[in-house]
Amino acid sequence: MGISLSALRAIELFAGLTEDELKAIVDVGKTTTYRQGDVILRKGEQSTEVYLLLGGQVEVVSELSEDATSYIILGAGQSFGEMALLDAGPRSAAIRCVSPKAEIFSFGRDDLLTFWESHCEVGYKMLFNIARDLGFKLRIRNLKQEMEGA
Amino acid sequence: MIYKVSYVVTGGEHPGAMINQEFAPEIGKEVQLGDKTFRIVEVSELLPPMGDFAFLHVTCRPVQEQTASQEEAET
Repeated sequence: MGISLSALRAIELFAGLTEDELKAIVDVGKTTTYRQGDVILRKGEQSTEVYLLLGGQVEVVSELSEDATSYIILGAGQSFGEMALLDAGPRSAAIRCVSPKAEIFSFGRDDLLTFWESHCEVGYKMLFNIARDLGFKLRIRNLKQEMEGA
Repeated sequence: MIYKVSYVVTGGEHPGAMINQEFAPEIGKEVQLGDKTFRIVEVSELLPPMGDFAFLHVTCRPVQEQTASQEEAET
């Protein structure tokens, strides 16, 4: 499959999946290597892939300009693009590679939804993991706001 | 165990980071976030562990800033 099981196990989106389920779902997506400065997503674009970081770091920014606001840096095991996976809306931020290179695994929305329809238990686990990840990010945002107000 | 770590940087414009790692963050250790290096000053559990994942909140400071303030205190 080209990706080590240990790398997949570090991705929270795959938490709870069996080895057979991991092997099956990896066949649905593809791996791409990005270099420092590469733009992975542009704000407003109409794409619907979901991305999983196998290694390296990316930065989530408001725009692709010098004075852009940086929202967060994401490292190994993190995912992005889930919002468009769920609602097919335009991208809410831009993503660029900030490490010398980043290995990123991605799913097409239609491919993933089709896979989930035929593998409902995998779909349940992954959607639960996406919901938990969004909850974690909300908690962190609240914590940051508390720290800034202190 | 996989440690899902939220790194929050105090004092500065850095947005922080979120990284899954196979080792627990430790106070005093350095971490590379983007093109900058930070020192960990606080580690706390954000949520109880679930399955193979632990959920941690880490506060860190820029290494250069810390060094400068330490030098200032010494002079």
